[in-house]
Amino acid sequence: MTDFNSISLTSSGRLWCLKFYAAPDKKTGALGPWTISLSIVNPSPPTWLDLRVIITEPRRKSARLPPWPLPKGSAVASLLPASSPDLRREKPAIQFRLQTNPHQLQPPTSAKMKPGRNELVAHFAENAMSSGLQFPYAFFVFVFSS
Amino acid sequence: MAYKSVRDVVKHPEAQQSTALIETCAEMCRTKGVNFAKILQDPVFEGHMALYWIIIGRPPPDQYGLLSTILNHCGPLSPDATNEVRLACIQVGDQALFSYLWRHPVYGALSGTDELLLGGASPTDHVEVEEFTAEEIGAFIARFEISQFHKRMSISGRIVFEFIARGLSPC
Repeated sequence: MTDFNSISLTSSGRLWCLKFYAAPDKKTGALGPWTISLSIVNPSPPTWLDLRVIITEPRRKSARLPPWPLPKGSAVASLLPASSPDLRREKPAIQFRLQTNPHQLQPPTSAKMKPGRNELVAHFAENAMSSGLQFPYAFFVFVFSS
Repeated sequence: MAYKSVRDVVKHPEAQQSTALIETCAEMCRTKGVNFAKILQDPVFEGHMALYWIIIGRPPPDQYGLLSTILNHCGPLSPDATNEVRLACIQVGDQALFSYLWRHPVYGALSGTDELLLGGASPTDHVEVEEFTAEEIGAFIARFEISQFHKRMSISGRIVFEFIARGLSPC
């Protein structure tokens, strides 16, 4: 196979990078607030994104989460916790919504890229539920809609 | 000789003797003091490494044996080799295959701190991806089950996942 470009154009997926991090304080070295970011990795093509992050407790996942694998014909909206009576009875899940607007999310192509173009970022401290996150949450669901 | 044998494996990865051939090459190189890992990560096969072509062949999950053998002899993947793995996995769009590679110790998915916390070089986390193909093209759900999330965030301050999903098709 010699035509490299023809392979690239037929790529059938994107490589996504999901990261949780706590940047250390420059003076004390103590870890700062938790942050979550989503980016795409080279050579993935750019895309628009509507992302929902849902964080639930691990031990109660069978009661709190949609069935898995998903039933055929399921719509994304029907799987969100707010639309499920069973889920509403549980302690609310931590949720974030992130969108690309107006630019597409792009893989990092140079160090000079404008901030926000190559990753979507949310800070746990900005969410009232997640700022009180003290016990070992460990199960996460992410819904993306391009 | 080793290059020729590896090329034969790349051309016919499904052949029953492929895994044995890699093992024989590894042993032969060890005897002669040749760096077999370097051969496996040398992009001499039409501009790509052997690993790239094996992934492009997209073996089914019950036939990851050859891949495993090659990875075991690769040692820690160089940045170029990691890029080759990523490129091939994007091209075939196979999350199951990528997940297998990502979890292999040579991929280096875990930081040194996380290796100590989790007691091994392989991630104990789980990622599942399900894509919607009918009404909502481009939508998908990815689920993550993360071991010792709170402890790792408090100590290493960093947990990273990579996964493959289609999303909206490129124009």
